[in-house]
Amino acid sequence: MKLVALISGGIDSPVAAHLMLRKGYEVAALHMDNRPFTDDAQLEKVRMLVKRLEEIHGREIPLYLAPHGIPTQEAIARNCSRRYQCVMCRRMMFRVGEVFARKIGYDALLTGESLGQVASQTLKNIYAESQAIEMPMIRPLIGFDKEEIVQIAKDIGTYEISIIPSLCCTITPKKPSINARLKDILREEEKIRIEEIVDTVMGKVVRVEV
Amino acid sequence: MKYRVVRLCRSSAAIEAIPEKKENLDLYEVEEKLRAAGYEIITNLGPIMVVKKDVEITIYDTGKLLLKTKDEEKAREEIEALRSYL
Repeated sequence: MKLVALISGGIDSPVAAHLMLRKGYEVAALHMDNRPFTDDAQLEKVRMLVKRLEEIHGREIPLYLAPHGIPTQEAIARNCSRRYQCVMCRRMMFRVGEVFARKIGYDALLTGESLGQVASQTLKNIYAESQAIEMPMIRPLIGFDKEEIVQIAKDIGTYEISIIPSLCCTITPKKPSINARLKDILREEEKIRIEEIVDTVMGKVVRVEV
Repeated sequence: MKYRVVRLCRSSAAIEAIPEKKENLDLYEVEEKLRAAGYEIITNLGPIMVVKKDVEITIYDTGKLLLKTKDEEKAREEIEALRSYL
């Protein structure tokens, strides 16, 4: 099975990728570039993380970059209810991930989600986010505590990279929904041109050297 | 506009400037002024705008600024230059 790992630059996603690489799965990394709502340091961290994973597992992990801040986050923020920004952001990431995975012949998406860890990762939000795609989603960390994830990250040498200072997402609303209902999200999504955005993003995906 | 605090933000990756009192800026008006002053407008979403001259700056409608630099002196210069347009 071949997996497209959504790699953010944080602590969790490289650990999730590591666990599946350890089991022998083929992994490609896709980073959703959130600039200008984050900074250049995120990209550098992602490069370093993928390089570290390559060193650990002794194999190439192709890294791809897809624009996300513009046009996706921008379109959501301009047109939709602010409280759903994070859930809609993730639904769009998954959509791009799915189209990208199919394009390169991969079978599933891999994320570092852990239940209840942040606002976008409540059970209801995860459900609403998952419904955006039909492709299987692999979430190896779903039941892990943060401490367990941090310990693995330290053991494999990704922790020190993940904690390099980089700007948190600046477009996150003050009160993000933690209880998103799918029907509300679908209504909000009618306000943006989803297919057009996905096509635009897909046209700008590039492979990045690590 | 006056700023109460200029400090490294929580992630230590940028400098944030907190206004003395919360504003309710019309960032579309601010955008016109900044464009005329030579700032590049990267995006303006209404409650948040991202602009650039020497340093990329996120401007919130509350008046809060986030400057993508860790150099506090440089940040203070940028804030001083920007302040009169807000």
